[in-house]
Amino acid sequence: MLDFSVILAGFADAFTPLNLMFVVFGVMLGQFVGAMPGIGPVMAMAIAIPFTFVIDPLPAIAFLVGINKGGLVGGAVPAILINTPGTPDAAATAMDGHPLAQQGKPEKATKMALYSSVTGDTFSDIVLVTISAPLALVALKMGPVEILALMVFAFSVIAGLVGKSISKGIIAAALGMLAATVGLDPEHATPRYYFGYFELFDGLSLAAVAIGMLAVAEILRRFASSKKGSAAAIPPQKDMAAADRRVSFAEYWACRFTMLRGAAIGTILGALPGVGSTAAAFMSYAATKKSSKDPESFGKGNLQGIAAAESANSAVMGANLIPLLTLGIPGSVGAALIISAFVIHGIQPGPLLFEEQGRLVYGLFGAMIMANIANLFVGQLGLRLWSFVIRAPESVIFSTAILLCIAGVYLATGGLFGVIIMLMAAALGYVMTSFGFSPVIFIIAFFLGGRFEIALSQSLVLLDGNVLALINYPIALALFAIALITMVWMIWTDRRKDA
Amino acid sequence: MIDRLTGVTVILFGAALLFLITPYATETVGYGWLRPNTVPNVMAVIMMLAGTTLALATPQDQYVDFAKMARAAGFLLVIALGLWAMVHWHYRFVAPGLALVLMLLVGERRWPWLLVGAVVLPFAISFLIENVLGRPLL
Repeated sequence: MLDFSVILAGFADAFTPLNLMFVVFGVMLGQFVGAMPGIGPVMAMAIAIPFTFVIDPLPAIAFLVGINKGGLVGGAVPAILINTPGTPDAAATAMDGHPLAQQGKPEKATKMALYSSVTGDTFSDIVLVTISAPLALVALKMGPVEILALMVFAFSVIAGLVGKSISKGIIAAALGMLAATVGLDPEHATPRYYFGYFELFDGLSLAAVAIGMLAVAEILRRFASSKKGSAAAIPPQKDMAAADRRVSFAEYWACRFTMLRGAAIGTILGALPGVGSTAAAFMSYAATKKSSKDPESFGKGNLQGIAAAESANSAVMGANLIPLLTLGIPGSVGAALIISAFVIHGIQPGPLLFEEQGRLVYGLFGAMIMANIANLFVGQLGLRLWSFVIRAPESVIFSTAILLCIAGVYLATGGLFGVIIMLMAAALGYVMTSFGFSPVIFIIAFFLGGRFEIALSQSLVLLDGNVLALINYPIALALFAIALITMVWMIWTDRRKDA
Repeated sequence: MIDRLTGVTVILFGAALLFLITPYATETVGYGWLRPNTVPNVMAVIMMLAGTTLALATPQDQYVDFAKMARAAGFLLVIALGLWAMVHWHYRFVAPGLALVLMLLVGERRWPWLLVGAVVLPFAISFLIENVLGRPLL
């Protein structure tokens, strides 16, 4: 049992001016790079790690945490303003955020994203601080069979995003799953669909595919539709009421259950290594849309849609640290970078971390809470800057966005091949959108497809191909049952609405 | 009509995938629970079934603006050419030209904005990435 004085000392360490400075600087940097398509907070953290050699462990880790948290907020800004997600997990935010911005309410949309992001992040931080150890033990029980069941559950929830044409939704999902099979197959490690390009052994990069299909395809659409390059990217509304510029407390409060659900989804998925914030954002969005009394309003600028996506993808960050701090297992690339910062400073994450470095761990928790507060204030200032930037003509904004996408994907994928994949994905995304297929469904299936195949392969080996052996996996059985109930419930509600 | 044609195209693509592409692009393995071609084949069959449904279902009002699609293809070609030029002459020198061409193509003629979009911002991006972050670009 940890001494209460250690907890207090840890928090006292966190709230020093030096730490505060590093947290604020990290948040500012994170918000800035998060808004750059393709660059993102992970790359900023990777670049920043060598600089943390020379500073004490707590400010170093607080700085990295600040970058990570700032990036979550920053990624939503271009997604909302120009429909160009800075990070793949912000793609779900664009679904309602951009339509709201197009209605002349960009400030309202970005503020809702900021508030719900901070809310979701704070929720997962509270979970991390209070019940990380028992939650990590539950996460540890999630083997391949349980992860497979979770994937099936995720697919059943996300099926709610399929639009009016179920056939087109299924085709988009199958194409996404097919794209995920490019590269080495998980069971035999033989190459698939590589056509002589050895770069494809690692599969298609998520950054290249997501930015190509969502960002570059949207920019192409805007270029092709542009009749006059002098128009602003977001049409300015001169006589806009003050209520359209801000999020009132009533509007925020109306989204409380949506944010709570999103934060819970993000926290649960974040505690599981490898599932990621993109899946959490789309699951939360789909669940919110499905449970809404007015699902038709989604995709047209519904604040609930922004709140659902942002609260979930931000909640993943804090929860990612649960397996890292308690078991030494990083839940994401960002968490892996934080673990490397621990190791650089001679600290070994794992079960003994709370015993041996309790003061540092609680200092980190304090820094995380400070980073959330900093996110709120830096975000307010940053949004003012962005609202000024989008007054520039779309010719300038979109040509610059193309240059950023090329540079960002080049850096993220480590070469020219990724940029070529991005352009091919852009062409596919444009054609899919033109013919009524959802690129978002494609991206989700692509993201989950690889993980699904790995989990399926491992599960079949574990079960020796015997489905009845599932009886030995009660958590997986429960998740399969929930997935089945979800699907039946969705079909039933759809039929009731049709009737 | 568009949906019917799309459905037929998807069926043909699924069939090509199942009988031509996947056998060529995956290796035959005689053991294990999940063969390299299992998931691709399942996806091909799903696509063929969904394509059939799309082709046979009551067509929805799907309008495709082919003129706009051709314009988008033109812009994509310009970007691809810009990328090719970057490979040969470096990002720092080509990015301003690519931005300028794109801006002119969408009708921007105001020189202050052309200056910002084609000189200031491309330079800022390459300076940030190459000089500040210390990462090499194309």
